[in-house]
Order: sequence, then structure tokens, then C-alpha cells
Amino acid sequence: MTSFGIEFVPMELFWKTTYYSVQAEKLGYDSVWITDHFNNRNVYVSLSFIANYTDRIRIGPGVTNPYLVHPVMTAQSVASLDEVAPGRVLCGIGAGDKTSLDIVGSEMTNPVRTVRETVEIIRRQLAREKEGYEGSVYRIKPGAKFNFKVENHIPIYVGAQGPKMLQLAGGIGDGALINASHPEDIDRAVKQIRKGAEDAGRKFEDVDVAAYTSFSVAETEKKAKKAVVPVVAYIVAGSPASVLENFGISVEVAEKIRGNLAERNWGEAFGAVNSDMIDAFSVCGSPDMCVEKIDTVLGKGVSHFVTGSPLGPDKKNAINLFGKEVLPHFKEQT
Amino acid sequence: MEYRELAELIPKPTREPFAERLTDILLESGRGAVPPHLAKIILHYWQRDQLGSQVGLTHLLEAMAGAEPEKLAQVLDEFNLQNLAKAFSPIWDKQF
Repeated sequence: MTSFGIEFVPMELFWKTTYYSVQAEKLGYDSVWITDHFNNRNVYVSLSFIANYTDRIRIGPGVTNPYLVHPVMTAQSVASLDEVAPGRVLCGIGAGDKTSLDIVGSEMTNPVRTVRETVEIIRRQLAREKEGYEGSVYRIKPGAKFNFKVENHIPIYVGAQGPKMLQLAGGIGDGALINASHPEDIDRAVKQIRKGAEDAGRKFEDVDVAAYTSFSVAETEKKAKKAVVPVVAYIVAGSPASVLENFGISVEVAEKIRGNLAERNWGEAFGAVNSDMIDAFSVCGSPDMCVEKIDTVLGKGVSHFVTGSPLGPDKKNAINLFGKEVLPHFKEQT
Repeated sequence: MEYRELAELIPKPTREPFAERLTDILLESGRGAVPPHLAKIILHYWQRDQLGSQVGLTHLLEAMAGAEPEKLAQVLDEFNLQNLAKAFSPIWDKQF
């Protein structure tokens, strides 16, 4: 069965993110993912608040990273959250965002190894294992376990973009969070996840493959596109040349956008974003267009579709449009 | 007059769209505009689909009067709730 989720960046006051999460639950979304960046509201404060005002929807960090938060603390956080929202907690873990890590002087060393060990440690902590853990990144002494029991299974999703991380997600994740929006990118990612699963002797079907998309819906395509431009500008600026070339996007133009963003020349930066870039890096349009695009994405082997920032020109209206005009198309099929 | 009594003045058919309109404005309001205790009450009634009830509107009106008094006056006008605007005058006079 296909699931539908929504991502919030907790830039707004806690009650507003919670309001939108309640709205999403009422409309039939299955999951709420809260991003974890040091410069926004704390992810677990946001999640515990959302937990208090929702009853059904699944919630979790999407994603946290082991460079700023030690895996034992992530395990403790999701385990505690499970007491507030029993059986509804998800845990998204990834290598993090290099730009944010650089700002605080944290180096993204050995990301695939680090994420692998993080997942192993979170699982051993949740299972209250007494034995120590000897990894090449982390070492945990015997007896380092919770003083409380975790009642429910907490699925761990590995956030991934590159081939090695995608394979790791397929190999050890309960789920994979693919950071992509275009069907070709998603197709490439799903193949890597499948390879990872098969190499690990697992069934691909046992991995919940989530497409974590930049999403924008509005009554008209024009309005939806306008809203997604700033997000696409940042994605283009942060994408390696190989990714840009896949979509025929000029590396020089991307560099110009990067420079203008750094200089805070928003008009120049956003003005350079064209339709090809929007198509490559977002799922965007009127509700009917979104249905068609999501249908294509789901055809690539995705089992969980996450609408990520910006959602649309008006958040509340975008959630309503998705819930009332897009979601029923898929929920009625399942 | 208390907010509860003011909420009573809103005709029943107007309550839902009026609550929706106030909520939209509050969601756009700035930092600290809605105090945490009121925000929690609003979420409580939102979760239960009761923002358009008399008690839900009581709290929305209180939040609006504190956060966006000028916009509240506009919305009252928009919904032809002149009697409510008149009843609000003493509260506004006290605030400003």
C-alpha cells in the first residue's frame, strides 16, 4: 500500500507547524517528517508537540544526522517520543547537509560508514542490548543501555542520494528516503536500493521506499512554479556537475546561481531558474498535474511519497489541495 | 463584555467561515503574536473540529484581539458583523 507523507521545516512557531500537521492528519496523510537543522526549531520539541495533538499520523525526524547528534541520543529521543506517540514513531537518519555542518565546523567524514554504524547503534539501544559496540567510528562500552523499555518497533529510514548510501539504505534500512523529485533520478535511486537489498539478502519489497520531493501545488501551474523557484535555486546551486548534466542544466548557470545566493542577490538567483530546472528538481503544478507526476514516480518502485518544501504558495491551501484533490486519487486505488 | 459573550453574537451560519478566516490571519501573524497558552487552546479545538463552535470562536477572538486587532476590525466588517464590532469597542479602547 502506498503511503503519503509531508515534510515540515520548523522555521515557524511551534503551534503553526502543529496546526498544519493536524490538518494533514485530518486529510489522510500517513506521515509527518520534521527536518533537523541547528538553525531552526528543535526537531524533537516540534515532534512531541505534534504528537500531543494528533492520534493516528506517524511522525519522525526527517532526517537527523550523526555528526551533530550522537546515535545514542537519537535513539533516546525517538524512544522517548514513542512514549508520547506509541507505535507512531519513525526515525530518518542521513549524513546531513554539508553546508550546515561546515558552518558549525563539523566534518562529514566517512558518511556511509558513519550512517551504517549509527543505524546499528540506534537499533541496539532500542533493543536495550547490554553488549558493547565496537565500530570504526563509534565505540560504546558494555552496559550502556536505557533504563526504560521501548514498547514499539521504530522503523529506521536512511536518507540517501549517492549510490553507496542508497545501497546502504536498501541493505539495512526499514525504509529509504530518496532525496529526489524527477522520475529518472528516482529510477536510478530505486535501482541502487534494490541492489543494496539483494546484496544483503533482503527482499526489495521489505524496504519502504520514500521519495522525499520538493513539492508545490496550487490552483494553477504558474502559481505552483513561482512558489518552488527559491527551493529549486538552492538545489541547483548545491548539485554536483554530474547531476546537472543528467538534466542538461548548464554548470556555468548553476555556478552563477550559487554566487548570487551567496551574495543574497535573490532576484538574480531566482530569475535564473528556468522550467527545465523546475522539472528536474521538483514535483510541481496544478492538482491534476501533480496526480500525473506522482503516478509516474510511484511507477518507479516508490511506496511512500513525501511532499517536501515549499508545499505551495500558501501552506494551508496547498495541504488542502493535496488532501482533497490529489490524495483521493491514490487512496481510492488502494 | 467577555469574549464568550462576543462569540455568541456571531450568527451560526457564519461561524465556520469566520473561524477559518481568523485562523488564516493568525497563521500569518508574527512571532509572539499569539501567546503559547492561547495557541495550545486553539490547537485543542482545531484537533476536535471545534474552532467554529462558540468556545472555539471565543479563543480565536481573544487571540485576534491581541495579535491582529486591525485585521479583526476588517474581518468583522467583511462578515457584516457590525454589532460585534460595536461590542468590541470598549475592549479596543482599553487596549490602545
